[in-house]
Amino acid sequence: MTEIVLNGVTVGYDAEPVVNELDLRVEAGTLFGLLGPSGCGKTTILRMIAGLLEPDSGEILFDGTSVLHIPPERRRIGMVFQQHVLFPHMTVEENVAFGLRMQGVRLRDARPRVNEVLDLVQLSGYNRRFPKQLSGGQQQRVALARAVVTDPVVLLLDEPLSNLDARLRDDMRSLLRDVQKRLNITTVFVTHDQTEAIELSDRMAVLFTDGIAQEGPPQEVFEHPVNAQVARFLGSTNLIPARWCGDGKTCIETQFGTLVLGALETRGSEYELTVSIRCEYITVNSIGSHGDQSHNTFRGIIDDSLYKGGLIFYRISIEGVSLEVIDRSDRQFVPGAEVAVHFPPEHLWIMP
Amino acid sequence: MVRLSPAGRVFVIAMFLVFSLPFLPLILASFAFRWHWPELLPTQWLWDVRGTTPYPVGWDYLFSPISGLGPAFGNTVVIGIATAILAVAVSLPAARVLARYRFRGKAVVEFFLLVPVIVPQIAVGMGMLLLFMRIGIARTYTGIILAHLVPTIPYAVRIMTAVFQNLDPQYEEQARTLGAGRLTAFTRIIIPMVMPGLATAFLFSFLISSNVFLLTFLISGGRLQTLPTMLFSHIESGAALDATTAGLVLIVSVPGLVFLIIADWLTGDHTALGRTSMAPSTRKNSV
Repeated sequence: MTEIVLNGVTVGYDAEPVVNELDLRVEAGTLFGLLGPSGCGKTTILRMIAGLLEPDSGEILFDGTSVLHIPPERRRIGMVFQQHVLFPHMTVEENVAFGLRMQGVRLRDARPRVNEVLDLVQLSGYNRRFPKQLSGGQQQRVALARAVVTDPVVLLLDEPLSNLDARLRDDMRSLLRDVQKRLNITTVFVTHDQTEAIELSDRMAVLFTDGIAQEGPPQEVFEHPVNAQVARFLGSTNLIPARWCGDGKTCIETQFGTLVLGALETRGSEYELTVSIRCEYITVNSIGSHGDQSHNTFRGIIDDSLYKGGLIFYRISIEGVSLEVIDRSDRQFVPGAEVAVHFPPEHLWIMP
Repeated sequence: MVRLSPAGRVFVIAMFLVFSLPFLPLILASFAFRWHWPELLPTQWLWDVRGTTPYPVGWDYLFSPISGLGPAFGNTVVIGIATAILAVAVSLPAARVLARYRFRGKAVVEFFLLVPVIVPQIAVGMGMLLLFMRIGIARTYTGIILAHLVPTIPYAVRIMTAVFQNLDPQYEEQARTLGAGRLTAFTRIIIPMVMPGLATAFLFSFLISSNVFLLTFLISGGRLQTLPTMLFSHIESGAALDATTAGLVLIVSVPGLVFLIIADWLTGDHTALGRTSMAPSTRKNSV
């Protein structure tokens, strides 16, 4: 197990920095997700860890030792690229065995290990096929097998699921987690898909063009985004402008009324603030039902409703404030209906 | 395999006729002893006069040792293969750099690659002859092969550049991450993947070389005969299309046809090479 550390890494093309003074620490044995929009430099970071790109300045350390002057072929890494993953002129077996062959192992002697990793990615018996004869998902799995066959100390994945269709993504996602846990290999993957990052990683970092905005376990990043940019990038959320109530830090005043907070808030002293609540956490009920008198419940009008297989997407306005709500119930309110909208205190998050 | 529509079939047959019809009079002429205008067919065939002429004519002459056809054929093939190997060897790394990197002076390099195609061969040839005489390689195989590189390299570089432009650099990078050094990645991954394009470049270089007259003529000074120089020496001696010249013209076409067939077989769908060559798509449509 290897810990990866990046210290003040800077790299750019034509004097334009793509990655600027980046610090990152990936603990040994974790599955670490780098989430960011395209162009934020996440693939560049991966390529630097792999040794395919040399940083202009800064340090890259594996277990405390600099790897900067080690070429990619001797860094003991495994990498799965985003596309064109397999060598087309080689069979599955030859592809997977490639790393071992480079260490001087003969194909015949490599075969047991090849079969072992093919078994790991559930592709036993595909040895003699050519890449063209495999589906996209199978090719991706062969690429994964090929990357781990040499027992690398670090595994790097570039958008491992982006070229797969929805059902294959789910399979590949659980397979990836399974393989990573079984081999216990420090793994870094990059993605632009927040679901992928949240579901796959042990820890994740949200990356924008100006650097890492937030880093932590997926749940923390998802529920407690540090700023509006992160909150928006992680999917549908409502950002409501507010100010503190007069009495201190137990409630906030919004345009449509007072919201009681779940816990005594100790951070943030500014008068103006933004409260964030995920669309999934807001509940919608008919007027007069049980939750009507409790705190944090307001009358709203349904502006728009859209049924999306098990989920209902609403646009609701409360006193002119427009909110997006995702509801999981089996009854659907029609546009124009008046509803009771409840904000659970424990899910209100004051933006730092 | 696709079944062609009737119009498609007519088109294919028409194309075949356009390319093969010119050979018909050549074949007839190569067996004709007397064939004057306006006769549609020869009035006297070679076999009618066989043995009665003072020296062998037509095919008999060509296949007799005095014609020098054998050495000329051999020279053409040897020079052609050597030229093609060198041209491909030079253009392979050059094309990779041209396709992949932007660098200062790239436009200049690309321009100079075209110069030998634009500048008249006589100018290039005279310049090379003067130089080669100085350094003592005029009238040698080395000299002729070097001269043949001038018209072949531009084409080989162009073909290989297109191939490398279609080849994702990630293949090479993947090989690197799997423990292959630069050289190993090149020989084990890049070369096999560009093989169809490489075969095309080789074929083109060979074909161009086997057709070069002027450069060979200048550099060899008549000491080394190739098929084109032999053919031109027959044509300039006035006998426009006697049986011997016609036969010679047919023989000059042989190396090209043979290599075309070999290349097609090499890059075709019925070989392991062709079956898996998915990246560069220059084969067939550029031949």
